[in-house]
Amino acid sequence: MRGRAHPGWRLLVGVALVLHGPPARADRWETTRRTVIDPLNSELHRHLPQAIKRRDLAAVLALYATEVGTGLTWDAPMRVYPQFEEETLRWGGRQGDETIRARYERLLALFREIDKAELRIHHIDWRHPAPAGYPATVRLLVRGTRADGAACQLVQRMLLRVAQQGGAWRITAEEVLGRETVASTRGRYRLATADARIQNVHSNEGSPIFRIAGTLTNASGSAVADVDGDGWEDVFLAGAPNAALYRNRHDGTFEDITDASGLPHPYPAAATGAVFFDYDNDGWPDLYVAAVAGGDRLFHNLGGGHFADVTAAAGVPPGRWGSMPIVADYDRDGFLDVFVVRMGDHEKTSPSPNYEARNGVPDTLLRNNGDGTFTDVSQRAGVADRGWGLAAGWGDYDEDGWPDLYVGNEFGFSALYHNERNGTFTDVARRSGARERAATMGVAWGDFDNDGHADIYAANMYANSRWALVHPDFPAPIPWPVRVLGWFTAEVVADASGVRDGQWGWGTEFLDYNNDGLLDIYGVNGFVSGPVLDDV
Amino acid sequence: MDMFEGVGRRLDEKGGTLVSIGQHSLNGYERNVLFRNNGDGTFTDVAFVNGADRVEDGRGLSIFDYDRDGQLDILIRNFRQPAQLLQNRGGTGHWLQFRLVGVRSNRDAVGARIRVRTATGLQSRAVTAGSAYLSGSSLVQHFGLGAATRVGTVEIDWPSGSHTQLRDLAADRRYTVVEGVDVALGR
Repeated sequence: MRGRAHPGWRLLVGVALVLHGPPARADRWETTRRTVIDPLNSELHRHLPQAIKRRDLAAVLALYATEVGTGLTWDAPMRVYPQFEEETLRWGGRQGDETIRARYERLLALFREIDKAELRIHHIDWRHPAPAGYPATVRLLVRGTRADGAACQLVQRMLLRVAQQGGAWRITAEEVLGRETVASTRGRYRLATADARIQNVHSNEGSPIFRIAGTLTNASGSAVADVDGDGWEDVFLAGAPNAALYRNRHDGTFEDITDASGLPHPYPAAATGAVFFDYDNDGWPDLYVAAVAGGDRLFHNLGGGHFADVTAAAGVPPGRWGSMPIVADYDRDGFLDVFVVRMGDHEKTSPSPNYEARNGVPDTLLRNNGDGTFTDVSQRAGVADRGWGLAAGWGDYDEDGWPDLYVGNEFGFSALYHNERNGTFTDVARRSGARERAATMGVAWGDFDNDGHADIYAANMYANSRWALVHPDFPAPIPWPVRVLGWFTAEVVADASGVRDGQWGWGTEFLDYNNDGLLDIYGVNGFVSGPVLDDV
Repeated sequence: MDMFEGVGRRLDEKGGTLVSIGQHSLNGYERNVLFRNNGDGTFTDVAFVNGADRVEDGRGLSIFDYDRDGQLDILIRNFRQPAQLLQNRGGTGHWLQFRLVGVRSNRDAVGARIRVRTATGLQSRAVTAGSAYLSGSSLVQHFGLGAATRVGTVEIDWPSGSHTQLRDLAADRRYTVVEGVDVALGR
């Protein structure tokens, strides 16, 4: 369901078309970008946060064409969620006028040091210009250290009015809609990579270069399992040439056993996704590694963490443009089967039509024959999805005991394949409400509301007003980062739940990080960080 | 229109030459998120205050308890950057872990569903292999228990259709459960 998705970017595109008449679409867009989007981005995205980070009150105030703001005042924060380790304060005591100066003085006084300030533009309503300016829904994030030494993050939701005055964009009105801080003196997590002696920098030689830019290759994943049966989980890091298997030494450290394990080194394919699973039920985790080029591979664990490449003997097709293998016993014969979600050919083609693409490389379902071999049943099973896929997940959404399949496509509609219990699947995404034209990059199943039914979190591109805005075709489907699925019905709860803005999300997973009995969500993000800091 | 064309032109304009993204940032330097489940249908991002807001360009992600202290750790596979391990240093809250061994079902028990009932309610998990993006997390099923030090009932539906029920398990342990054997072996 799209009910709560806000259509901001599409409106922006629409207005650009209306404003600039019929000439070439790209030219029209360029004009809009130069005259409207870039300057506005500079003021809001760049100048305001930078001024806050510098604690330069004068520079902040110079961006405002008003001296007084409305909405929530800084009075009377309340402690909410006292059951958690992190202190959460929420403002909501009093509404009324407050000077912009006083607001920022209070904000700056909250932090002894500011690490990062950021303004995320969620929506600018170009359809409703007013003398006071366009309404813009934004979130201000400030992260730093409080006087008491606690790490603290402020999130402030605001409705701004923005207008061009004297050649520059200015904030003509500000209404604070919500404000929360979360703080902790003792973070749960510490970076333990060096202590654990995991030293592996990702590279992916042999990966085709994506047309989007000169040097972009494909990413690779990670997988964990107790490969040597000692009760401690070991780590595999995919990549080429330096794929690595690390043995857990039980003392917080790992040792690189790639060579001793029999896994190929250098790794001979441009590896993408990886998963451990015991395909022959011998008690030892085997390893499937997909590849964008150079062929998928299946490695049999001979016991004790010694692997042999059995790809050919097992009848595993090399495939191409593989993204991610996921495993389930879809036919319930007691042997695990493999589904590989595949991209499109980034070298030779483009997604067509962009976000409804059906010209991707078909996904693959490999049925485990139970004798150490696999059969490609993708077509027969009806899951040779032609979207440009990145991520997928098996889950039994209707709880009939037969694994169903959610495929999140980067370009193309997402699909929810219902297991018909006869070796075939039917896409029920539309019927169930889980069909989205979203740029899905990561998928996780989990019962986050403890109602006994598995939900889905899909991490999508979420670009705010950054580079995706420069192109008319790019931004359209962006704001649907989350889907949550109940029993045969889905509801997008991203806005209500506060998890829409995971930024440019990739891998995402449910976990209970604080052992309170509720599944939390961890998500990694970011597309490409280069030496030039600002997004183009 | 080629959907990437605008991006390329934009980059050209800035750099004056054919641009490699290696020099520029496209949604770069974003901070990873840790959405705390508030229990009322809302989540709060607590990554920064918990030291989990890594800035690298993350892609893959595996959740497991590598040091077996009952606290879930995070392995991150970044893009063209070092892999990272985030160790969970722990806090209050009891826990329980299950390693399921299929007999009639597939040995990894992928597809098995576990329901745990405590005084505060029900939790459910399904064993999955392959998740997130490009990655596989632990097959060991981890349940946070809050203040509870015992679990009333644990029900396991195995992929084969068989069913296991366990009662009154002590917290803060990892149990191995073999299909067809209604006993949890703690270790």
